[in-house]
Amino acid sequence: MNVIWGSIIAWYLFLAGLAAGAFATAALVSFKNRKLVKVQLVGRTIALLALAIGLFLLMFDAEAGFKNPLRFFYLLTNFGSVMTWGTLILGVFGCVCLVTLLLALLKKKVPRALDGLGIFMAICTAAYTGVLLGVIKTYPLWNTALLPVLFLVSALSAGMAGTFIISTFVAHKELEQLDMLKRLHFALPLVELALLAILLYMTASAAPAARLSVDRLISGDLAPSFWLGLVIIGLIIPLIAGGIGSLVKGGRRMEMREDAQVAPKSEAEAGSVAGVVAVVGSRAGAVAGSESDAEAVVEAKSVAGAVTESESRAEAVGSGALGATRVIDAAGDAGSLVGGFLLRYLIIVAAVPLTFIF
Amino acid sequence: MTRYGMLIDTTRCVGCFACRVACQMQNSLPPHDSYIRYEELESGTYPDVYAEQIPLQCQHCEDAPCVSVCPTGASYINKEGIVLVDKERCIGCKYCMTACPYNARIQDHATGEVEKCRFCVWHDDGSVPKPSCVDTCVTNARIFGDLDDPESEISRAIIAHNAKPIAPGLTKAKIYYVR
Repeated sequence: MNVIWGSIIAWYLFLAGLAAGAFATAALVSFKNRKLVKVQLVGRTIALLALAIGLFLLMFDAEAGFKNPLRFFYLLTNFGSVMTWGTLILGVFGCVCLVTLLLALLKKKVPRALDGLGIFMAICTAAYTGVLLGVIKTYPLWNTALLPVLFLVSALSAGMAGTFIISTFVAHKELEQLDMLKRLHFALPLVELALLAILLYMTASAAPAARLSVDRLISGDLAPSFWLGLVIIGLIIPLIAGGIGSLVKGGRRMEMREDAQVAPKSEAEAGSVAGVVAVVGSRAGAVAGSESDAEAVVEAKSVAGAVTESESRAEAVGSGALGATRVIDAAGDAGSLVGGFLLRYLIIVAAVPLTFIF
Repeated sequence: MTRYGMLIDTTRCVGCFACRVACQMQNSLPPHDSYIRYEELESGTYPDVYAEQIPLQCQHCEDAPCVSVCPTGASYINKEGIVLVDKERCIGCKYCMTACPYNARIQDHATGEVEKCRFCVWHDDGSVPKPSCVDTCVTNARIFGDLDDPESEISRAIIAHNAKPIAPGLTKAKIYYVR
């Protein structure tokens, strides 16, 4: 199969989408709560880094320009070309990314208007990568108006995943205040699945070449990476991880409410140790505390056999439960990132050119 | 106005690939690169089968998609209707290569620039009156000339053989095929 654009361009499309999504995430967090500075910083850093790496790959792939860099100035000459719009969009978006990251690093306020402009440019960046392929009639798989929408959703998904997975390590406390955003982020794969299904169904019924592309993806040579990589790892796992995450968090919120009612009683009866037991978050302990104080005391005392040990264990159990959800969230995020790349890679590689000779 | 085009009569083509070799010689191309490629089409059911060799190259479209997508303006159509690449402007982004539905462009990996058939335009000063592929064709399956001149050999041949572009619905190509 004669592939003109290969994995380098797929990486670029992914990184541009990642940058757009990460910037949008940071800006949305800033709109929601300015004080969550670490998550914003993570998002803005990813945006600039991904964009810089992506642009380097783009220039590296443009061999003649890479050898004669001054020729890149000609990029601003044909305004009928999507690549020329892309150059302008990336220029403005890159500047906004750089300025907002610098402001964030200097601990200055990022003006709302600048973040707004950035979100607009991020949307343009993510969508243009789809339009870039979408206007090419040679490949019916690309030549659809749905592609920019799919890339846009995927970009937001990947950007949020990238921002959250790094924040899990450096700013997990801030992350806990962003449940709404996290839940939105885990719903995006559902939208992507629907868009992908529509895209494949529509192109399969359009032209013979499109049919061939779709066949390669769903039952041909690319089927393993399509089903296992894109659908299962890239879309289903993030969905499941998001589902588990919100269930666990919902459960924990209920427990915390129960704990709040129980804690004063058991603290009075069994002292602070029982309090620790309650805070551990084990429902049984909390129920025992409310049902039979004596049992709670016994349990508390048994736990308190070695106070320091029990405390450290309690913390371990607590952070273990928290840690488990964090691991699941991170797995979902990692899946989203893999899916974001594979989506673009497969769409580029699977494209079969028009068959015009009959 | 001069508007250059070509006619390829596949019913005369014997599939000797001499046009491709001549083109490679003319343009100093390595054996694995060429501006001319072939598609083979089989039709009919056994025993009445027919194999058709179709040479393909830049169709010099009047509405060339390669020209409209080229971000640097390196791809352009000259005043005689020939689609050309100004290599000094080419960045090698390969957008034109994806846009060309005939898959007629190749990249020179030594320079990174994109190249294709240019109807041997730099010899169009009287020294070489025809493109090399036309000149070399053993069965005279190729005719090159001015489509705007109704008296030219190509214009008369197009009418005589009812020649058509290879994919009339795709682009306004200036290579006509007899099939």
